[in-house]
Amino acid sequence: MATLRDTIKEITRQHNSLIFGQCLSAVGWVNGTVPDTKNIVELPMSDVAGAGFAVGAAVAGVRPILVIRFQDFLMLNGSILINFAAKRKDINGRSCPLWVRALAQEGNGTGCCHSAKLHSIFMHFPGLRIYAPITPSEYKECWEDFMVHDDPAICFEHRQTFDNEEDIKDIYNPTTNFTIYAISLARMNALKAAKELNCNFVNIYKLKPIWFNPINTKGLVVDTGFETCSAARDIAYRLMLKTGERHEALGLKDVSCGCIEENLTPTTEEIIKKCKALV
Amino acid sequence: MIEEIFYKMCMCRYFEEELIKHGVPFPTYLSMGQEAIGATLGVMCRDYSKVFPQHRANAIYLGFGGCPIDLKEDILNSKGGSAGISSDKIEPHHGLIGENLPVACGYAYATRKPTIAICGDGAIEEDYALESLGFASTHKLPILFVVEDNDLAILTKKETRRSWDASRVAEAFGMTGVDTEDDPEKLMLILSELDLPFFLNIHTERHRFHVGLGKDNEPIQDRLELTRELVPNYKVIEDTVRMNMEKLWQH
Repeated sequence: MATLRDTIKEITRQHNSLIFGQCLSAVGWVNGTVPDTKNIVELPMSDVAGAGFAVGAAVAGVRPILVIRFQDFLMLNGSILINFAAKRKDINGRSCPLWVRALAQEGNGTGCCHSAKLHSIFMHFPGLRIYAPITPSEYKECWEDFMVHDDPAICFEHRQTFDNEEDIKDIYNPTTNFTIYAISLARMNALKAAKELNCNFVNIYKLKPIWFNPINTKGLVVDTGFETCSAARDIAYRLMLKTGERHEALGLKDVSCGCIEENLTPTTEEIIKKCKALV
Repeated sequence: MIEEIFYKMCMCRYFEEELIKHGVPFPTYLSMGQEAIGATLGVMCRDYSKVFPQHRANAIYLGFGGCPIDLKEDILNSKGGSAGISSDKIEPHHGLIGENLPVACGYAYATRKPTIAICGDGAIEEDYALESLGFASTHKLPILFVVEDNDLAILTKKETRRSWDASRVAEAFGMTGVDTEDDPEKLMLILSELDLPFFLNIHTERHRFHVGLGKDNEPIQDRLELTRELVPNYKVIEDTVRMNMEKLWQH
């Protein structure tokens, strides 16, 4: 059975377009997700202009892939993605489709500037498609969605899901009045919590345009990024409006990751505690 | 060839003079004084695949065959004028100076077709610009960098902002870097023998505000006036273009 890592590598190989990024062929080919092809464009250490080179290839119509090895580096690369790629269709009616792979990592000494999970920030801007798949079939689904549209897309990946092989299905239990929704790596712990609490469980991996199955119960939305101004809070707000039921969000504390404390994705125990408080 | 360049310079000059007469509903950027650059590039580099200019691009747009009627409509409908208008050849600018340079490099890399990246003497100071020079040189891209050097970033002079010459920096990155005036004859000579990537810093003079229709100062020289001396039948060309532009703005 193929892992998420194998799937990303195979999709990239089959796409056969330009792959831009820094040090792609070094240190394990980005966790084994980049194929050894002639299409690789090794970028200089230029996080300000780096994304611009890939965006220019997108203007040429080749649907390039840009690999950002740590999501922290999206802060500098983000300007051209947000201001040029995402706005090009509004400026002159021409699209700028490129696939940006933005990788996250956390814990074990990853440190404060390599631990970012920035999907929430990028959901804020118009013109971008935002995905966060963690299984092979989800990744294929998101990729196909990108290929049938002409928008720039950012795929927020998490290194700790690259060994995933199996699908993670939603759980629907008609006897419960509680649902856990979860994003990215948080889904792994949230699933365990849902099984222990015998409540509903909903996967969210298409973040913008957002797509998932809401359930008419109380709920908790668990995020792998900071809770403040997060996707989780936005989704909880929407769910409250839609269902009329109370929803809350759980994410990382408002403390830098990997400094004074690791500040990791919420654990199963933390999720269960929050759910019990809500119920 | 010089007649065609002069014709394009006149087209931009009288388009903008009419624009000033009629007024516009919001601040806009004028090329007035800098027309020779867009006009000469438009003639000498007409076969290039794509041009990535910046916000002060009326002369670039018209120089590369853009339609003055479309430009007028774009400006009057508050869409941004040459900052945002596009043609098959021209990629409109989105407003952040310097960001168009790496995008142009990426386009040149993917297509391997001759490409022009244009910015001002302020934008060339942006991080994007320096990294783009390096990328273009490393990959020997078919790209021409053009700096419209009017010595001003809004109103701050170059000598206040930096101690280095952009063309020397380009040379340090491994490409030919040339400083010249916006004299069409000099530009024609340089542009006829290019080995890309190439960096061309063109000294020019902006006659109007950074943004808006007014003047900061009276111009020291007028390149259009100087170019008349190179064109024997300049009066016929100039009168014809002036009349056409008056008609264009009457409707």
